[in-house]
Amino acid sequence: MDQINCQWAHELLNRLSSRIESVIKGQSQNIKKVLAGFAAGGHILLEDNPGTGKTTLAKALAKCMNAGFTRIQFTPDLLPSDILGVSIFDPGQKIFKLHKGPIFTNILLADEINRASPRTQSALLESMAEGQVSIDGTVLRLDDLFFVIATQNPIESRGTYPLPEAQMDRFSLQLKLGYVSKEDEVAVLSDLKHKNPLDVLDACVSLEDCLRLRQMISHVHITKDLKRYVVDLVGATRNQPGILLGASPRASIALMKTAQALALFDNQDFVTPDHIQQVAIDVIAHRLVLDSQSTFSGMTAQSIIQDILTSLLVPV
Amino acid sequence: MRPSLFFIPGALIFWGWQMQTLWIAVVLVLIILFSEWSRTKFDLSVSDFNKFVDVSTIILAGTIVLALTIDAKKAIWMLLKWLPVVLFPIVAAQKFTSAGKIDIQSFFLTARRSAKRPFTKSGKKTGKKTTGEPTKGQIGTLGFESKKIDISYLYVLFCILSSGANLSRDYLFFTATVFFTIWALWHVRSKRVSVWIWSGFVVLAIGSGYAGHKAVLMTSIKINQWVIAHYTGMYSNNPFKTHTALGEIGKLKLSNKIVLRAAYENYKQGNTYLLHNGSYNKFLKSTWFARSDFEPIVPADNKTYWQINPKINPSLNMTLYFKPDRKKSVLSLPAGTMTISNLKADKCRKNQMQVVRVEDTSPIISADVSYTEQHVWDIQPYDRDLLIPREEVVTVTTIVGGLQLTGKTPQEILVLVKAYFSNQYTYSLELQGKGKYETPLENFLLHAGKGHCELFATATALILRATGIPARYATGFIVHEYSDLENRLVVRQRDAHAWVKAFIDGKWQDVDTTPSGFFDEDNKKNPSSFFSDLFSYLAFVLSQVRHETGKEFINKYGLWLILPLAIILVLRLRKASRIKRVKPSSDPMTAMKDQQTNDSFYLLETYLKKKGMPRYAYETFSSWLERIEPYWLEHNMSDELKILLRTHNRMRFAKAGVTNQEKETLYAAIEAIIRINQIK
Repeated sequence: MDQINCQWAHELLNRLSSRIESVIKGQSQNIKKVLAGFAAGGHILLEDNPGTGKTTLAKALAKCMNAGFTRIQFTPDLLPSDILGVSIFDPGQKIFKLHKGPIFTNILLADEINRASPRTQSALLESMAEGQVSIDGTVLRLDDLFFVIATQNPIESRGTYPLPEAQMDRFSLQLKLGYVSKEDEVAVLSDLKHKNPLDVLDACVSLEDCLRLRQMISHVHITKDLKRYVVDLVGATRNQPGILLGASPRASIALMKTAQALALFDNQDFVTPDHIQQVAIDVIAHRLVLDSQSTFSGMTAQSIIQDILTSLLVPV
Repeated sequence: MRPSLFFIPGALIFWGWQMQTLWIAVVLVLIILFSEWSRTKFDLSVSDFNKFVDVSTIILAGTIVLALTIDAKKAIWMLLKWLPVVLFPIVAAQKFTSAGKIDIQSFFLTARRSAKRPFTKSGKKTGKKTTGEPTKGQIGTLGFESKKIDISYLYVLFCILSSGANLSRDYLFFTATVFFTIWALWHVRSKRVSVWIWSGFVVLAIGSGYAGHKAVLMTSIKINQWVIAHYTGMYSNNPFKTHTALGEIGKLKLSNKIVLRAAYENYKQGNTYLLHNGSYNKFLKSTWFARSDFEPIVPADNKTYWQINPKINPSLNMTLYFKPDRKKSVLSLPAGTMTISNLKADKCRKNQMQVVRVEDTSPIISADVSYTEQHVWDIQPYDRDLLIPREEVVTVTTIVGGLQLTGKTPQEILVLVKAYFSNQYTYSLELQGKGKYETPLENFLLHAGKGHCELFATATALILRATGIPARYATGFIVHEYSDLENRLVVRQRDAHAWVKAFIDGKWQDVDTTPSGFFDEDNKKNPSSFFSDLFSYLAFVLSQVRHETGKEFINKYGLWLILPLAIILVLRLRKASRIKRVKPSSDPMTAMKDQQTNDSFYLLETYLKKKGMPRYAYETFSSWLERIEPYWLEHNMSDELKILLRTHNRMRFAKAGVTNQEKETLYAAIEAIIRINQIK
């Protein structure tokens, strides 16, 4: 990859992040990670308490891009056909006619995904992994740019269904936004004085640019020992005591790609170990299933990944 | 940080020198040095280490068996002495590995087990992973319990500990300990603290260590003295004492501990026996004194058979069991003892009043005693046996006058005296002393009217002497309690007794004027408990096994005990041949390091490591620099470094790499930063 392309990607990503930052204050790190995840072709799961800006972030990202955007509000009575679409008999033409669901879009905001039943949640499995949908035996391809950004409340909340492990694995990153600092929160209040900043946000990136960015990711160089480092990190979760289910090879792929995207953010056409360490927890943690003993002893998936990070020799 | 090359060899040589096993130490040192210099290393997994630890454990067990076989008393010293050899397999294994460290799991069976557990639990049969090929970039097996340690320090500690076993009283050991401690600490001291402050604290630690050790020593001596003073004041446990004060036996009566066991050949229920311990014939100031003219007895049968007196028929037999309190003790024997067999002792002496004492006996005594009731060999009466001390004359003559004993035959006198004591006096364990009167005896005879056996015996002896019958004061035990549990007679401390030996009809006879049934009184005062008796019995049986049966067994078959250990060792090592040998440079990480040590950032890393700011193995350069920034960098320098780091990263991770010129610039810039810092 030449310097010009690298520069172009760097600028594109920075433009996007500064746009979004004008709406969401004090979350530059998370915005960077969301964009990296997007650029790497993965899907993002935002998890936090209500009111921390998950939906706003997702909407801001969608609005910055000149691409199709739909939002599905997940509710307990939502059915898979509500998402994918359904064939309806047309009495006039006497044929079944397919009514495509909201999934046929570029950017899909699955709001409060864990409010729907696991059955409905699983409707997304095929589309997220393979970019295609099967309805009534017909396979329909989704758009080249298909990006799911889902939000969910912490699973301890009332009226939620935890996502199945397979579904969790489809998300390349899970991010927790957390509460912003007091200064940033004041800035949020001040911005609301005139108009909601989200309303004035307009698109700055075309669909083609997005696709080009995604293609560039694979050209970011990563050395063999860093690949090995990625595999060691992910592989370690499979041997770690206290974990019932470790991370899959899909996690390794996601980790590498996200690190590559982060490299572009830094205007580098190569991955450094810092890039990998930055997103390791966000990429791996949500895929792990802890055993009850470690859960009760106060361990979290995050703390386990942190332990692994501090026990591996990093190539420098 | 690893201690220097000569750390372990130094400690080993010190150990060899102190223990006079220098040649062994030299062999061990050569092995260690060979491992340092040889390029051959082995790839040892956790399970291989487990084997080495097992080998050490088995050698340890073997050493214990050997030490116990050779000399059980010094076993602990022998063990301590050979500790460095016992632990050597582990340290050698560590030295020969490429990792240079040992997983702490290897030392604990529980840790080994828990390391395996998670895998089996999750249903993944991947136990192999713990032992299998270690991944290149991995520091050991991952796990919360898994921690790699360098056992060199521990080993040196054991070497020093072991050297301490030779118990030299000079300061060499302390000095050496201090020396090795400083050596060990020198390598791990914080480089951010100046050497002088560090040395100051070390000196402080040595000083307070020395003072503390002195204080502990002084305290222990004081406590020892206090304990000895306390106990010797309480019990007359000095076996060679030639006097006994009134009240000493009374004190012994306060304990119901079983001190003796006796089995008589033709015991009938209800029989009581007296076991004679000491005889005294001079009474002065409430204290009886004895003769100390002990003469040695010639042993026979490998110092187990002792002819105390000539044999006469008919003879009776009894067996005496007891644990001597010290290396020397006085035997409690029946009157008229002729021979003692099965008594292992170094020396045996008796005096003319038939007191027998032994020295350096086996820890537990079960002696067969042959005695006769026909004759006693006590020395014939002489002037001392008729002496009445001046201060008691008035008291004694009052009693003798009151009883109108003058002019009666000895037999009549005996009957009268016995009747007098059992009618007029009561037995009591309250030690009254002399009260407001001249002597305890006066208090007992004329005023209190109650007392314990010592007073009865003393009074009787003096009354008999006043009537012209030679009399002596005898102490020992009264044997009366049959134990169903042990199937023999047991003698408690409170069965200690005093009575009188009177010379009547040309023969010394035991005269006991203490009102009969006094042992019921004793029992009421200090009831014996079944459980303490049971434990006493078990302890006795155990020590019999340990010192008699067990010792014989160990002497005969002790070395065979090593055989099962050897078999275990062979079984454990059967798979050891699978250990892989690795070429020194086959580890990609070290290879990478070798090639890059001259590179700029590694130069900086080495420099900062010396300054006490090492980079952790898991830290990238940027996170490391960020962490240590407050400690050494100025802000502008930090920005400069960030730019340099970008170049370094490009050189290291980018496909295109950097030009030679960029490389040189980077090198020069880093060098400049180091130089500026050195000047500061």
